[in-house]
Amino acid sequence: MGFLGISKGIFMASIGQIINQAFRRSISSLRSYFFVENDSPKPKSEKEKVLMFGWELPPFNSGGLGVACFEIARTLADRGVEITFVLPKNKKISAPFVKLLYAESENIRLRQVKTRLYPYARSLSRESDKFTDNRYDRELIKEVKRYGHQARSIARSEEFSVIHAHDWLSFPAGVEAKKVSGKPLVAHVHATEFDRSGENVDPEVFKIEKAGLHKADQIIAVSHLTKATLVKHYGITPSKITVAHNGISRREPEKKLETLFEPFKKNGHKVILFLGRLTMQKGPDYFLRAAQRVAQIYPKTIFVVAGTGDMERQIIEQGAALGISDKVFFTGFVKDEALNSIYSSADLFVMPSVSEPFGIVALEALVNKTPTIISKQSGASEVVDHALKVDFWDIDEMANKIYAVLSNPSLGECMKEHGQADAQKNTWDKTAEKCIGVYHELSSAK
Amino acid sequence: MASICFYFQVHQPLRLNKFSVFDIGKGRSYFSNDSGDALDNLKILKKVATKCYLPANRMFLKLLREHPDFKISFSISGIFLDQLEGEMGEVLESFQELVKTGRVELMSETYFHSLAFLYSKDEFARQVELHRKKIKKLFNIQPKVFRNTELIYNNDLAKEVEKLGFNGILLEGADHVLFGKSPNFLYRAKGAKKVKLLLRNYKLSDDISFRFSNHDWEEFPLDASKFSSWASSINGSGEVINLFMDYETFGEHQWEETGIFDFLSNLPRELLKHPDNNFVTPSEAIKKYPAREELDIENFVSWADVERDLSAWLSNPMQHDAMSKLYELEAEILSRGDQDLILDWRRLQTSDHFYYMCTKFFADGDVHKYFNPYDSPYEAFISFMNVLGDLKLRLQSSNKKKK
Repeated sequence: MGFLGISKGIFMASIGQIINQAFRRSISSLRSYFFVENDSPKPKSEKEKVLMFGWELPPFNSGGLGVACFEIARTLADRGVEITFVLPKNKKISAPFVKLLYAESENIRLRQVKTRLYPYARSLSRESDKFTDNRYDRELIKEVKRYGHQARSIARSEEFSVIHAHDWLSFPAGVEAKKVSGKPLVAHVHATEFDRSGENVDPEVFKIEKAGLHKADQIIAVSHLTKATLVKHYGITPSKITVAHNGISRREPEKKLETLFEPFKKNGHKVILFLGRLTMQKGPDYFLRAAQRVAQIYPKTIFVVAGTGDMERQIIEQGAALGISDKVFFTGFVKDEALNSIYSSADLFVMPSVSEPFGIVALEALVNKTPTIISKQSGASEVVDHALKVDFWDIDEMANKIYAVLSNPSLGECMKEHGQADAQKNTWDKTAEKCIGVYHELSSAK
Repeated sequence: MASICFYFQVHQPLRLNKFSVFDIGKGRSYFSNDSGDALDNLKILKKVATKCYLPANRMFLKLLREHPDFKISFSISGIFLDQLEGEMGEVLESFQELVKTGRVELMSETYFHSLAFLYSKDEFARQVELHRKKIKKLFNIQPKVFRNTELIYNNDLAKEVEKLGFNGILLEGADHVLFGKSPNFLYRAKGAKKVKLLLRNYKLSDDISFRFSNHDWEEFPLDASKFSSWASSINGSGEVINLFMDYETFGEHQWEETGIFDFLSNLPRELLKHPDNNFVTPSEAIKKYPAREELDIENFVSWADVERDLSAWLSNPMQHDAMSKLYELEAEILSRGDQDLILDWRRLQTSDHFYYMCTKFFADGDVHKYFNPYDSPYEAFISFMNVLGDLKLRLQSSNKKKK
């Protein structure tokens, strides 16, 4: 399968072609619909046409959500699903396998919004405005709602059999599309407010999430962990949720990768890597506490913290307070091109996430043949066997496992040998398969 | 005629506790665990005793009394016998009763069910002697036939075992050692003069121990008369049928609900219906039948996994690392003379510890995973190496004391 999918997704939507719809409630005067009787029953081999709502796609992504959306769309397109992918803003994105629509380019004009809009809270160290209690930009939430309104006209002018919306940012758009089209809505949960914010759930975001989930006809969750969260905190019936784990794309073998941290390695130091946003959810503070324990029993180590986030200053201070600031190094944000080098240069990768719906970074590390330790509180731990697993709060056990890999080269050897294949068996194909299963279930339920 | 030779392996390891690097030097026990988890050795022993040892022994005792020509044999590891001390006396007595019938032979093996032969012939010989003593003490028997841990065998083993005074050795009738020859005869070993080799008929043995309850098997369901007709059909083209299996087949691997006990209780009667059939112990087989040919087996063969070689215990870097570091301590530990240290060192040699570290097919839901009380082979390795670290620390401190 090539990296660029067959462009089955591109098709010309002819304006005026209205799909057969069934109504359950009275028509709003603002909408106009035409009844078109479709005599023939829907053949099983008919291609699924999906109206997909996302928020970001690479390279303009700030986290795993964009990557997952891209891969899912691409793999679905490879399997003959026709996708119209909607994004809120027009950026120069290359995705020939789908038809891309931009909400802002529709007839409704958009007010220029001044702040940068990331789906995650920003680092305090960059805070130039006054400090607010909210971790989310209120503008972001307004934008999400606006996106929802814009989705209406898109849904009216597109032909599709099912709506697929990724995460809370796209749920209002999906819900509006469902309202105007009557088509079933699939809500795809890559993360929940509980994962991102722990106890401090943003009430408005939570409300948007919950409404979207309840209005959806089917839900896809990226792990059993996430499914359990949806059942527990959002009151969703388990049978409404299908688990489709994320995957990893097969990459061509890299040309020569840069070996980083040379001076330390020459000195016999081992390099232990944390890579991810510096935010509560990712557990960087647990990483540092484990680092301190490890430094006590295996001094020749350095701990690399790769990433940025709202906890940045706190982490730097914590390193000093724990007395290991001479061993902890911060790289800042790591560009995509540098990722593979940084993984493969590390002796050990640790993902100590407090609540990780999936954790693609774990698969990325494994694919680069880096011995990996992951939190049991992660979706990735459900699908890998050749990584060491630990409860994120169990600092001693985390340190025990780190020490074991450092002091027994044979352990690392075994993990390297099996880790790559272990990660690669999680293909986006499997994810796409599950999505298609959900689509079929919804279309046959009509 | 076909002489049927039953042999059952009876063994339980002492599973290692989860041992962290922070447990080193704290005097924490390696093996005792009463938490009730998957590493609680006593709990496991009790469970297997209830499902297997006690009912199977009861049933065999009944069969031995019903059929004066019925015979069986066991090999019981020393480390298993150790665990029967204390609460599990009832189980020991049931084995003793079986042996008292005079028609139950006991084999010899390494006390600790270890792979010592691969690393130290001296240690191997010591463990064989320890086991001999224990068998004499508990059963008043002198074993005459030997079987190495998990039927691991090669030409070298035959030579050593002959030196130790045994008449016969059990091994796996694997295709890659027989090359088309039949396992239903006795053989000679290359380089050894008198020991006779008994080869496991793996097809018929596994029909009972693995396939018995498998609904997808074309021969399912297997009853005693069907099995007996298979056994009888070798008449004229074989002399002895060696049915070697893990004793836990009866009640533990094959649950009572499968009808395994009914099958067993009918088997002697069905087999003896054919006048050409009889039962033998390994020693009787050796006396009765000649060694037909010589078998040249240079590379180790075993009864483990599909490969029937050493890969179950020595196929990945972790296993090699752990085992060689363990045996590196031999000279120092033995010369210290601290009996507690030596006992712990030997208990760490039990083959199961390395079996748990095997990464072959891990995650394919295979047999290693079923038997592994740890979350993963890596966890097993980590605990083992930490325990070894603790052992080394104790060794160093006892060195200091001597000075």
